[in-house]
Amino acid sequence: MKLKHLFLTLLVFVFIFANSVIGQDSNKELEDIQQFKDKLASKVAELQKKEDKAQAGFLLEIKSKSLKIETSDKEELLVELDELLTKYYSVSTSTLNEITKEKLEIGDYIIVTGPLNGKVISANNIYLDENFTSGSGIVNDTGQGDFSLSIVTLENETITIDIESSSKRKILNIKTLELEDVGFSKIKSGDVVHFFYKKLNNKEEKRYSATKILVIPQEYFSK
Amino acid sequence: MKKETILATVFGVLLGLIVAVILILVLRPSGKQKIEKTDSKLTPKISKSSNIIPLEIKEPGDRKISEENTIKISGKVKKGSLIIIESPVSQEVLTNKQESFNVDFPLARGENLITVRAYVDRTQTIPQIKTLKVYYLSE
Repeated sequence: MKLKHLFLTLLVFVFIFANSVIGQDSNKELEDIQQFKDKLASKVAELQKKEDKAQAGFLLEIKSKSLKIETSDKEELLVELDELLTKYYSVSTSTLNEITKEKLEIGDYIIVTGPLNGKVISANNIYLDENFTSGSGIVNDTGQGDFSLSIVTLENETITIDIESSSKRKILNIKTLELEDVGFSKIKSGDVVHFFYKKLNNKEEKRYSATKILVIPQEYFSK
Repeated sequence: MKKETILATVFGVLLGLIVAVILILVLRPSGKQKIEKTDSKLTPKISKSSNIIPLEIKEPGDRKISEENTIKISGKVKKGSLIIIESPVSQEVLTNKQESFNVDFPLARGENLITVRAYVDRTQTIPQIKTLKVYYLSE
């Protein structure tokens, strides 16, 4: 009886001791995993910081695990998505708003950050933005009262730029070399114009709506 | 074949070889002549006094991600040029007293298309242009 009691006590003692050892082991394992996670997170953050270039383009294709974009140089890039890592934002002037992948649509203009390997980007973050394009040329015609400018570009193409009431308009003062606001009526044939416009797709058009113009009067060049 | 015929053939071949070697050595242009030939004026030389300094942007690099909402734009172009730096949200006009120039330029959130145009000569309406994209993506 005494022997049986001793045996039971020993068994209980072994059980408790084993549990505490197993507990210690699992705690240590958890600590190791946490340390590994921390190291991995800091490494990812470091790599993200090093990868300080972004790619941007119009969305051509949306798949469950990838996207295809076309850059303004007409180059196609494959964007690899990670369910856990890739984050999506929409860009506004004051802030970035987190969105879901479902908000993306074919034709959207997106910025992608992440490591680029050839023509494949492993996306860390994707930003839904707007595309602005710029150009310049010489005013050929100031339109027939429709607030449009016919411009011969540096590439010797003639395009039409519509000046909206919202278009920012600046002119170079040739004496002070400072920029001043200008009305449409002051722009004349022969002036040099720089312009920005929003591009809604990657196709080349012959008519754009200017968001901003900057005029250099032809008199600047005739001195 | 007679012995004399073989001898005559061998002698003829040897003589031919000797004449060929002499002709090659005599008619080959000397090293000096070769140098003169390579000094041809077909390739235009760039003289040190040349005044052409193409517009060059040292920083920022194209497609750079900026942590700040302003970025320093620096570059080099012919002294006295009219330099106009523009983005959809901002613009700067300057004339450079030195060849190099630098400007602090504000960024909007997202993609910033920045166009730098330099009018190096008042008789030229065609500027030198550099375009770059800079991204400001901080929350």
